[in-house]
Amino acid sequence: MRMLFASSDRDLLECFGKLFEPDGWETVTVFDGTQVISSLAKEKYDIVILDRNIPRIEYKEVLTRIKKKNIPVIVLIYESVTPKILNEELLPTSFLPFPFDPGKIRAVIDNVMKKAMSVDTVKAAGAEIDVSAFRLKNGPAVTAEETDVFISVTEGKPLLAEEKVYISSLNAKLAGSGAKTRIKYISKKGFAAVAGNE
Amino acid sequence: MNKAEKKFRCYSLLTIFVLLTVLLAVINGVNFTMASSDADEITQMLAERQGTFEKGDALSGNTGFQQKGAFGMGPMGPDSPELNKSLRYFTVAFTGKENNAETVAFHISAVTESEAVSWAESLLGKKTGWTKYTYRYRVYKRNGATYVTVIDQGRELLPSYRILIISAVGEIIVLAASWLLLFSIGRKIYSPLEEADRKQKNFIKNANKEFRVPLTVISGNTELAERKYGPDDQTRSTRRQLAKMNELVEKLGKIGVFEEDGLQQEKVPVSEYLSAALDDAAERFSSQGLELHTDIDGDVTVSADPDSINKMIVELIDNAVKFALHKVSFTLKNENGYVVLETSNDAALPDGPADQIFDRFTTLENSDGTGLGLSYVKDTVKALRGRISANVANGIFTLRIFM
Repeated sequence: MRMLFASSDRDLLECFGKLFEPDGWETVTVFDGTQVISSLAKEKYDIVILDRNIPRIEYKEVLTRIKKKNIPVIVLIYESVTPKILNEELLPTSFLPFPFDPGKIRAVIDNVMKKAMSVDTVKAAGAEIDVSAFRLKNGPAVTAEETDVFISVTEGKPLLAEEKVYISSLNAKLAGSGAKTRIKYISKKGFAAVAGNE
Repeated sequence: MNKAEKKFRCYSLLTIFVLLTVLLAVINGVNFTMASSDADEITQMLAERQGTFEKGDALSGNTGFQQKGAFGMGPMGPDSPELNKSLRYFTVAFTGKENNAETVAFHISAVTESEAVSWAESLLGKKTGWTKYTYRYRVYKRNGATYVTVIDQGRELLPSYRILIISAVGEIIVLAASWLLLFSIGRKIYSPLEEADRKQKNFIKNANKEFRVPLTVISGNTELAERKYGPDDQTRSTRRQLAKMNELVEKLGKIGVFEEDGLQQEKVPVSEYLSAALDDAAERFSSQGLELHTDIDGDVTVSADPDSINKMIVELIDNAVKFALHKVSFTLKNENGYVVLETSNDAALPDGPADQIFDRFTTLENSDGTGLGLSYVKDTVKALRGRISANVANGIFTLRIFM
């Protein structure tokens, strides 16, 4: 399994270039946008970790090139995940805010890879997510975390506090897909996917 | 214009208004009192002379009248010999059981004698005072008869009315000029403060960004060190400190978030968010031995950024868990078109207003808080143009939000 790790911070690259070796990852580190694009043209990667502040080529351009190759991409951001960022037109597979510990990024990578290789779709209250495509049926792209939230509410699992940020963006995307489905909190039962008029 | 600047202008203008009003009220009050006192001096002189100056001892500088009005001045100036000639007055005497009226003196042109008699009749039973705005009267008894003397003070009151009107117009002009002046002074005072606040926020924001990658690298290198040499007290300590720093960075990241463009605005189901957050926190409340009471109206919504509302609720709950002694309550209601969110808990705090807890980096004594949680709550409410207040009464801390 091959990973491309792109950031302008050399210490970060040096550290995280070594960290995933025991997990079976071969990590290639690059420190600007042109290197990302040339690396993608030369070699195949299973996942890309991209620092949002990547220099030399604009982040959106780099992300577009990665997405064209259908490679899952985790974008490292310098703020918390917000509905605003989740509703951006060009969406990566996952956003991961700095600072994070190796355990956290490892869990995100595992989650993304598991979903990318999945053949499942998740259905609830008339809405459907194609898990490996990270996309709502007839609708916009969703992140791995939004997919997790949709799976949790479908299966009646309680949401973690930090997962609630994904509800409003997911509701906006559900509305955009025309599914007439929304995620709603039902007292003492938790969040559930319900038909729009319920 | 920020809220503090608006407050400064309003309070300054109110202070100027109160001071000016008091000053002008005193000036006009003294003026009017002097006019009344002068009129009373004259009616007293007339009373001593049975209602007229026409009985052989016309008032003059050497008649022995040493009338002293307000500030030692006579009503026409010091003992004016022209007083009896310039007065406009009438005196009606009521004699006998039938109260037969007789006009003792009549030096007035605005009323007829018969009107004067009926006017005097209407004043019987009174002592002294103003009638028909500018006439001063005195009712007194002499030799078994009741006399009513009415004098016209219109001309004497005219300067007082002029001063009153001039002072009222002057006050309006001064207030308008003060408002313009305060506008300029307010800008001069508050511009540097706003600039300092902006710089502080920018510094925090930039510092926050600059901390994020190094903390990630330290965390990664700690794991690499543990992998190479095994975990020890130093690496465990590093991890504990990293956890603290990560939490601080997370909180610092919230500062100034409301001043950025493009915050999402949508109908946020506050009832749902609050109920969910309280259900999630139920275990924390019970593990701390806290009794939780809730009164949450269904379908309370507010147009806002959903993530901010959710984080605000989390901060309120965190605060209650940290500082409550035994009981916590949360209520959420729609009242007169406002969403009212109230949380209260018993706390070891002195009674009184507690709004200072919303100031950035302000923490309670001996608290291990960052002073950022409730400051974020205030920023959220401010972004919604709502109001927030906190106070402690009888050992109960209450935080109230209108939005």
